[in-house]
Amino acid sequence: MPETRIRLRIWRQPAGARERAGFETLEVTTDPQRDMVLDLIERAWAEVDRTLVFRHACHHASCGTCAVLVDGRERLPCVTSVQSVWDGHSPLTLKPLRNATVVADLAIEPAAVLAAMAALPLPYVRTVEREVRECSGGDGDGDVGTAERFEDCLECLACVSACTVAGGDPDYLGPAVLAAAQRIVEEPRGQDVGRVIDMVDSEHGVWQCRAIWACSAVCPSNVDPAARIMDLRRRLLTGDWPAAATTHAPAGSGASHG
Amino acid sequence: MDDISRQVAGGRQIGLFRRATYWLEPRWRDPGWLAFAMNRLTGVIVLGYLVAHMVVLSQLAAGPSGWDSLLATFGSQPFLVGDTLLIGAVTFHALSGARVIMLTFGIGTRHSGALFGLVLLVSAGLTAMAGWAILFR
Repeated sequence: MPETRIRLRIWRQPAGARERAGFETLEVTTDPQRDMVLDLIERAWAEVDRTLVFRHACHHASCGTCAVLVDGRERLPCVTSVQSVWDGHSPLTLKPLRNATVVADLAIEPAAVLAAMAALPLPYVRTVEREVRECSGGDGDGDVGTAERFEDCLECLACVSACTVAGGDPDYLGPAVLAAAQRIVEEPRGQDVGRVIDMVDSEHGVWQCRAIWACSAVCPSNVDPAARIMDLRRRLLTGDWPAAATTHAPAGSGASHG
Repeated sequence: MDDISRQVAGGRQIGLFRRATYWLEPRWRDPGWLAFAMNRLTGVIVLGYLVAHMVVLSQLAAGPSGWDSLLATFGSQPFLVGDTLLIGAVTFHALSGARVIMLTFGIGTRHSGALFGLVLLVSAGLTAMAGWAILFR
């Protein structure tokens, strides 16, 4: 398909100025068969408006950083082809994820949820300090820090954005945190599962889920948070905990205390 | 555990109106949202009926004549249609609750949307049967 022009209807929100937020239409060139939506956002930034704020990093659905709403649906624009979402003539609407604090334009502040995930005793993390050093070309002595992440989850927060409950209860732990918690319970690898059980069996834990399944529908990594939340519920009701967790299982859960 | 909840919120505030109405925000691409919204709506309807039912029963204290006239009113066509709709709400709410219980125990988690379709289909069928029995027999 030859190159054509596409109008991007982008949410613009100056940093710290929610009252001045609104849509702005920017027009760029695209080859719908070749381009990903992130290519268009970058082109809009590079060629039309250098003040456009958005988040991105890896360009291949590995980091989860760039997630936005594309025509109202949570997607990773780095792996969403233009032809899969564009009808060829209407503007393509881009908004920041829901249920998060917007830093500016398309960029949200993910730190709150990620910090909560980091508070979990996750055995399923990769420490990527070495890779960071190699990429930076350093000799290993520099202050490069470490980055850790739950192995399946991209931490893109698309699930949190899609969650209806998170839209009405900001304290709700949400699908990302609960899915990570379930993974620990499923296979503790020596971690303190009792703390996790206490966390999910709380006012803002698994019982708030309404089984809408939107989180699983938008997850780009097939983590299936909804099924994991249901698994936690089942375990809480039947007392089906790993042996290491039974001393912490809540009263009435049916788990042995000893 | 409140600490972690507050951490997740990250200072995000939601007003009372939003807290009360968030479930009404349309998410047509997710059948689960419709299942949740309809479940809540039918729950409110059933609760409203129970309250109205208690109010009506209190009219028994007014004596036989008052009660008989009330019964005559409830036998009229509009109220019979209302009865049919009430049966629809109760049936859907019950089956929808059964769906959530099934999902909670890990049954049908890969087919939650299809389960909702089944709930709709069965409750519509049962309501139609009840409507026929109430209105046309």
